[in-house]
Amino acid sequence: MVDLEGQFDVVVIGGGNAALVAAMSARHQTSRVLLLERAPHEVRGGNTRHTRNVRCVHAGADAYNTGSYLYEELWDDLCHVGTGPSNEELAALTVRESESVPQWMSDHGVNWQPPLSGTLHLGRTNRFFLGGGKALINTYYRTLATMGITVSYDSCVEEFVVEGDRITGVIAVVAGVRRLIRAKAVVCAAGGFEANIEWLARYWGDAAYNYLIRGPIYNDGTILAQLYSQGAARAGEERGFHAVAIDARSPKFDGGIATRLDSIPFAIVVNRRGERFYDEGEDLWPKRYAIWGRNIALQEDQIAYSIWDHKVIRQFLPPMYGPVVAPTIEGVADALGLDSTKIAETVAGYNAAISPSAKFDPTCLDGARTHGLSPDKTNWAQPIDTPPFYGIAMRPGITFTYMGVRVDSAARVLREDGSAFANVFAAGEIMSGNVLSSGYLAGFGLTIGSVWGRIAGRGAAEYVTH
Amino acid sequence: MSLTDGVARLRAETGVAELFAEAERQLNICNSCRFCEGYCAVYPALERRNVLTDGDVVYLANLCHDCRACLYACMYAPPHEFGVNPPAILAEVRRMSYESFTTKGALGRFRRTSLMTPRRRHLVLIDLLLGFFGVVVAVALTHGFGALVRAQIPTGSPYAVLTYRTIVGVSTGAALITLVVLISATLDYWHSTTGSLTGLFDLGAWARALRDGATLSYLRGGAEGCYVRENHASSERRALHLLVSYGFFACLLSTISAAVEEDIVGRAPPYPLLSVPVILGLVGGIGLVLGSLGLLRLKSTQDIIATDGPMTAMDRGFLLSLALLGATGLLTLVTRDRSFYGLILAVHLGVVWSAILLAPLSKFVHLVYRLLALVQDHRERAEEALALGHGAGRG
Repeated sequence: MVDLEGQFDVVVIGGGNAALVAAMSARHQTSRVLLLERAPHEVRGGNTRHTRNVRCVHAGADAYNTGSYLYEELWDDLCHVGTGPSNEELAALTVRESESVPQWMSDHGVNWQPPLSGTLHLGRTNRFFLGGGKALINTYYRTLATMGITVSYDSCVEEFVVEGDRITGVIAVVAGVRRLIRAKAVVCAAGGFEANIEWLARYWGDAAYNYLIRGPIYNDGTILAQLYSQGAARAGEERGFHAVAIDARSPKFDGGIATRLDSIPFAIVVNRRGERFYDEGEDLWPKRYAIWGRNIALQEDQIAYSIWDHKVIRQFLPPMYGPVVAPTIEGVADALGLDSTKIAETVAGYNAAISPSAKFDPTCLDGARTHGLSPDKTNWAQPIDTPPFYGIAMRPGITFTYMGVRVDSAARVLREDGSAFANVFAAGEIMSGNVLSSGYLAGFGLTIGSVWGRIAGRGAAEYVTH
Repeated sequence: MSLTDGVARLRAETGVAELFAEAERQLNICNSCRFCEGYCAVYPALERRNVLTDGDVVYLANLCHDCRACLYACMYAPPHEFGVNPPAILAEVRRMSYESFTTKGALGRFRRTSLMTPRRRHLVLIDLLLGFFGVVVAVALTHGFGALVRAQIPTGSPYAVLTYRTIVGVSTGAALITLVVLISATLDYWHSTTGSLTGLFDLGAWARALRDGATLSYLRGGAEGCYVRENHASSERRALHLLVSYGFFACLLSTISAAVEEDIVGRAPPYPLLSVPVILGLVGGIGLVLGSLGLLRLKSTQDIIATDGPMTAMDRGFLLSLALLGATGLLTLVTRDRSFYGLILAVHLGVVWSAILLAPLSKFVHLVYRLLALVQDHRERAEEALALGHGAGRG
């Protein structure tokens, strides 16, 4: 049992990347730092457990990035996802500060590796840490221990103790016991509310009950709700989230990376009625994978089906649970519980609409397309005609929600009246809505967590020391 | 000698179909995730496959060097419902494959499987028993049983205890039997995991595999070394294993150099302290003892969920017998002026001979199968590099 008596300089609420970075940053300037992780030790780390890379500005190639990725380009990429940044000033600060993140991570124990296979397109822009997110988390917790930062697991903050514009303590249930923990400053880095289905349903209706949540059950927005109840201002779209297409058989929570499906650009996708509804070949997959969660969320019953044939099975990562396989298209449709006549009709129509001059090339936008369909498939269209045939049912897999608290450039949480809390800071997904509006850029969640974790930790420590 | 299909034989055993199914389930999750591919050769090899055959699983299991970095990096490890634990499941497949290829395959041909299937943890007891048996035989042969009681054997030269011809003859005989068993197992393994004997003599791949083996490069575990338990990774296992490996080879060289001194140079033992056989034996023996005991200590602190219990028992038996090998060897050196030198030497020879004969049943075989898996890995990497147009594969 850790010592929670007395007053801490900085209390960090959360246990993922942003929280850990904030705790380490604070510890560089103050002595008594406490991290309250809601999850038990075995599943610590929040959504960070499922991450694998971070997107940062860098001037040139090195052992882990294949080329340069300058400020202008990352800014441009950020502007082209969804409707662009929510707050240009804070988004620009994020991009600018990203440049020093990899070195900071190395300094705090992180090991790197060359880009993972099947993700070569990210090798220039994104930096991969060895072993993925849980390895990163383990490294950071070890570093916390060597820095003398107190970590308390199984510690769920239920209430803030507020005095004017300050939080002077938190009431937390620690291993089943409710207790007051006193703090000079507080960093909230407790993630979004995606695991709170009722909260999602406020904006999505009953559809939300068909969503699968890719991260742990702990991200239920408890801290976000409390900040709102203390007058914190909202940032980000209420329906904003990062969501991808995942196997419909995935667990309700915490399925992570292994359940996502990359078959879409090489397949067709139909809804429950057996109709195609979106251009599967719109752009290179890393630029489009993040729209398919929403695409499916908007379909009837929040389900869609990817169907492909034997020709393309080596073009994408094998699905974890394995696809449905049948010698005929009708057989696949039956196995998926779809109207086999309708599916056969859709496939035949699609096959007939493929331009005869189409030449398939998975490495680029090959222009192998259909004509006259609504919608057309504009790249990688090949007839689905080589048995056996394959299919998989897909659901939206929600990674994290964007709606959070508004912050200033020092990561201080702002109130609805425009003033800031004096000693309350926020970092990571809980404030990602200040940067992201809709759409997602692979590896940028870690960037936001790292940049704002540093700003928040530093800010909290400075508040305490001044 | 016809080849047998060790993989098929393995699958036919009780419970092994389920073991393969579970290994495939876990490895499919790994293949959909790929976070661990920076750690070792197993994950890139897995990624070269879309569908896993039984032979693939056996190959991947033997390619795994048990650094356990992947388990502690895995968000799907227990208590997650996916229950991914590659080090444990691969250790189990590996152990089963040792039995299938060596004990039941190669040794099965000698119709001695009933004799040759002791519980692995008892290997060291067998070593000891055979060691004492060696005493009885040796002393009885040279000095009659009466010498055992009186323990008055002339000191200094081993050949006063057993003739040179007997020592060389028995050692060579035992080594030949083991060699035949291991070669047979090698052919069986290669044929049933790769489908043919093609590539077994790929010298380039062998050179790269031997370099991996000589440096124990995969015990670097990506960057942090091997894990003993969560948050405890270090280069200790690699260092200790290097000590055992090179200690073992130094002892082997010591024996060979003694034979050279005797046969070619014509100098009879005992050799002075500053001679090749004694220095190699001394350094090798100390390395073997310290390394084996160090690895045993490391195992005593390991996280048991990361491994397979019977495999650990096999490891312990083998490490203890290596320690015994080194310790009895060192004892022959320090007691060679004593009256009980003959007894010690006889014990040592007994231990050596039983170790040679029991090698195919002991964890010794990991050397063979890991090397073969590394050769296969280097062949696949070279093929992949060729397909990508990058020329030869890199080590």
